[in-house]
Amino acid sequence: MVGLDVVLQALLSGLFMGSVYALIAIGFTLVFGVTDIVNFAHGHLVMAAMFVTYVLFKSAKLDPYLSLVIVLPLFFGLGALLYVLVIQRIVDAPHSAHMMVTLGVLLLLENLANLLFGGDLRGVTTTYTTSSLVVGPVAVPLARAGAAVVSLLAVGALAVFLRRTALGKAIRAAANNREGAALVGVDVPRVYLISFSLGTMAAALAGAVIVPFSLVSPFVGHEFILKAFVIAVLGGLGSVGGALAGGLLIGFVEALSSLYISASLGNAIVFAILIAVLLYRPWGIFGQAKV
Amino acid sequence: MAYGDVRVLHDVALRVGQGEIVSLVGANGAGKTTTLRAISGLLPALEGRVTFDGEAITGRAPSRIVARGLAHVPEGRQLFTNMTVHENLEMGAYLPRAKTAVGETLAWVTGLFPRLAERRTQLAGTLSGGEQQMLAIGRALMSRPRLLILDEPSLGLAPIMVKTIFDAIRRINGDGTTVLLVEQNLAQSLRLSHRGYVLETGRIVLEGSGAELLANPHTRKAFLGV
Repeated sequence: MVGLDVVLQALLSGLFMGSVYALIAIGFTLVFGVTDIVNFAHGHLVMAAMFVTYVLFKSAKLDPYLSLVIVLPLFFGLGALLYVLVIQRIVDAPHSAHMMVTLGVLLLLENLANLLFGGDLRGVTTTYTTSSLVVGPVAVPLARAGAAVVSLLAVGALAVFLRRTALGKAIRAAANNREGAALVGVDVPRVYLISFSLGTMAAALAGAVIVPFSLVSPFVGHEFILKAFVIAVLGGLGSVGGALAGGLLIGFVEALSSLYISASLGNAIVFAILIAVLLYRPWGIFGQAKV
Repeated sequence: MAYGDVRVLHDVALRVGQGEIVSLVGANGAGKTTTLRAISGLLPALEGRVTFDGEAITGRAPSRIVARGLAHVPEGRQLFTNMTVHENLEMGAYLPRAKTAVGETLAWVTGLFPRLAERRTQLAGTLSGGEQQMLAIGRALMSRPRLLILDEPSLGLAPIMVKTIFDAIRRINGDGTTVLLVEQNLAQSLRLSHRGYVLETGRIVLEGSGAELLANPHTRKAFLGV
């Protein structure tokens, strides 16, 4: 029998990782919702940001949170560059072309990282990497709690941006109806560029804040894109609120399944849920059926 | 003008004078929608020229063209169905010139279509067909256009709603907005219009005042079945 404190501890860890997954998935689903592009390289952008953060820590002793000042604008710019050089050319092409091109970007990023850093797992040790705060029956790991807080703040900021600002509304309008948006004067190509850059920046933010407690290698991107994909589908592709709920759900499922079943079966269970959702609610758990 | 490799418009010369309501009529597939999409920049024209207020707008992006004062209510309305009625209208005034006058324009639009004020917080996708058409026209008007282009505003609407829409078009024109109207509803649209053009398989075959075209034997035979 597993004690209540152990369950609480698992739920807490699920909440923390789930928040980070939600941020990654929201970047992915924002890009899809607006541009209709399924960006399979999204998880590898998380990986690339982890490496940049790692390098900044190793070379300049820059704390991962401080390095955000560099990492966020850098990846917003990289996202814009990637969009202009590659994605823009295939935005009107069929989904099969999106898949092949973004998989190509994935391979490029993975091999570039492999060339630069080799395949070993690397990590950093900050002053708070192993610190935790004991609250009642549970220990709150500070690095993970920080990553979760930053992720949730970013998700909230993005939601407010999309709901309240003129640019945010233009993004929603272009996502909802591209032609309608063009006809009211929205510069749709520019909105696509900004959305893709914002999605890339969300991936980079998630990558940077998990560096204090995660190991990075050129191959960690696969794990992130699989989760992001499952979460985005669970939440209804293109839905920010759905991705938040889906991210937390996957975080909890992962934590509880490693507690009750087996840690190595975590991904299998996540995918079993995906298959069940696709069979019975293909528009996602939180999405709405399109008529 | 072409879709893919098939040229669909051949010889379409039409002029809309300030303050007019001009109808472009013709059967399905005649090229009416294509003509409008070429004017508002949704489709790139192969050759030819569109000038608006003495300025060439051919080949400009739709967002640039609407900024010049030309608003297009497209086929299928293309509303933001996941956004509220109010958000749709607000998006209509997206450009700076329109945004400064948003309150005043909103009062004008809800005066034309009081139903839109009642449905303010409802999602556009949940409106009836007639209400969606009102919203599509209202959203276009929010940009304070000098020329309003309407593609089949009466399509699929109940007769009472068609009358509401046509009355609104007359009032919009009366308030000083020039209107280019595409309709299959030939009799009603020609009765409303100062002038009209008849389009057949990508060519303009007839032009004249609304009353002339209504009385023309060719139009009557081809479109009214009399």
